[in-house]
Amino acid sequence: MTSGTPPSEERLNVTQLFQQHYDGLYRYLIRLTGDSDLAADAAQEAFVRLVERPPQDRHVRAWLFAVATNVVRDNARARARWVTLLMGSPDRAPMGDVAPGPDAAAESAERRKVVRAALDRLSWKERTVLLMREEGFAHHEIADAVGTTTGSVGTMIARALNKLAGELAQTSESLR
Amino acid sequence: MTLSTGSRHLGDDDLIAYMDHQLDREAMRLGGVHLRTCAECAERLEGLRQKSAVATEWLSLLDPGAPDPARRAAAQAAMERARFRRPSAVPLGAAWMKAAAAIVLMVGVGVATEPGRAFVADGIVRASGGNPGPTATRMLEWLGQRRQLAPVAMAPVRLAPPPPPPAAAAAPAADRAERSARPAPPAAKPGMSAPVRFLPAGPDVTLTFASVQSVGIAQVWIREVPQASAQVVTHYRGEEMVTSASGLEVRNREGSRADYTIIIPARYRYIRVRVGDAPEVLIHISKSKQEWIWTVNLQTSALQ
Repeated sequence: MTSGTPPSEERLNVTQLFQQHYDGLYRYLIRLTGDSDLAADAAQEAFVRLVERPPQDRHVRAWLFAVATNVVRDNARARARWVTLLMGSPDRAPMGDVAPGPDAAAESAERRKVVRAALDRLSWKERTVLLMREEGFAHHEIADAVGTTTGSVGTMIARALNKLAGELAQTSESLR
Repeated sequence: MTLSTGSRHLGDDDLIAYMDHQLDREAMRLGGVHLRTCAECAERLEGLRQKSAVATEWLSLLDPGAPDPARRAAAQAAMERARFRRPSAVPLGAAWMKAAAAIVLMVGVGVATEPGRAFVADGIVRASGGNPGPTATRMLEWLGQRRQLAPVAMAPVRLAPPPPPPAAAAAPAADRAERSARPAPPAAKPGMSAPVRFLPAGPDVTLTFASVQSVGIAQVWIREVPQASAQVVTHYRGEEMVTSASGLEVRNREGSRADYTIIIPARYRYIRVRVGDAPEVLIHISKSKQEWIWTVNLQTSALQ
């Protein structure tokens, strides 16, 4: 698990921080929201807040992810838009960088739709802890981001993994 | 993080924490011991590992390619704009603390240094219209400026006899420059020194002291201006100049005829001068006051 360097060292150069963390934050937000516009908006807002109100006592990377997560969660308008978009186009999440053939593209789109749906059936906290764990954050950093105790993060991760694996196992069977 | 206790088996939270290396060293050791001896927990751990790997694989399907360059550039531009519109990186509380510290420092310097005390005292006298009341007087006494301030507010001190009128302020600048360049006129009669003049000139204030006396000692003492320089420009018999940390003293030890030039940096807004045995005088060096003139009454000088 990586946690970055302390803010006193990191905060000196926000341009460098942007270069280091923007892509990872954007990827996480795409996974979290399934909406590239919403992900870009939240990522931008997190970096603007980094300049306006830099963290005093937290690692910058964890702080950025927590702020962006809160931006997505607390933005009712964006969330409503997100739900609408998901209902209208569940596979709207951006494509990978490989251009597959027609059959492969269709299957890939189907699998993305499945995993997107499986993620959406998790609670907000379960989805957040799972995705932040995938980004390599320590449990205490995840706990800070979702507002819970470090001890309960492991429980939520296990529950999310069990739920997601169950959903995906069923889908894998149906896709065969 | 430590392992939870009270159960024969490890909980899912313990297994996840173990798998993610989030336990402290001792808990990791105990977890490893347990997992080597408990097949059930080891099996559950393996199951969680497989689920985690599956989740990682499936979640990667959602990964975008490189972010849209336009959105990325827009985000960076927004961040840069925020940098420039941010009023200050210093929290408001810290700014107030700095302002308070600056005020305390200014007051401290104001009363701890002679120029500062003189400046404060000058302000008190001016605020009181040149006639300090009891409170102002006590403040002046506390500042040690009471007796020195009176001459500052008055016309140039003239010890004896009345010097030529200080017409320099009204004279054209060229005329003043010409007069400041030429030596001070000699004393009119024995027993009196020549006039002692302070003339602002550029970044310095020049004191010209033409000592012409047949008896006694002529002395000019400038306190707390150790950076002043002085030189005798004519005659060298019986003259004495002493510079020290407490100031500069220039005097004749006997009947003399000598011209002195003393240069005082004009950054000294106040200097203390004692001419002969006259009381010490605080001089406010300002461009508006072009000239000060004293003469030394040698016959009443305590140094004779």
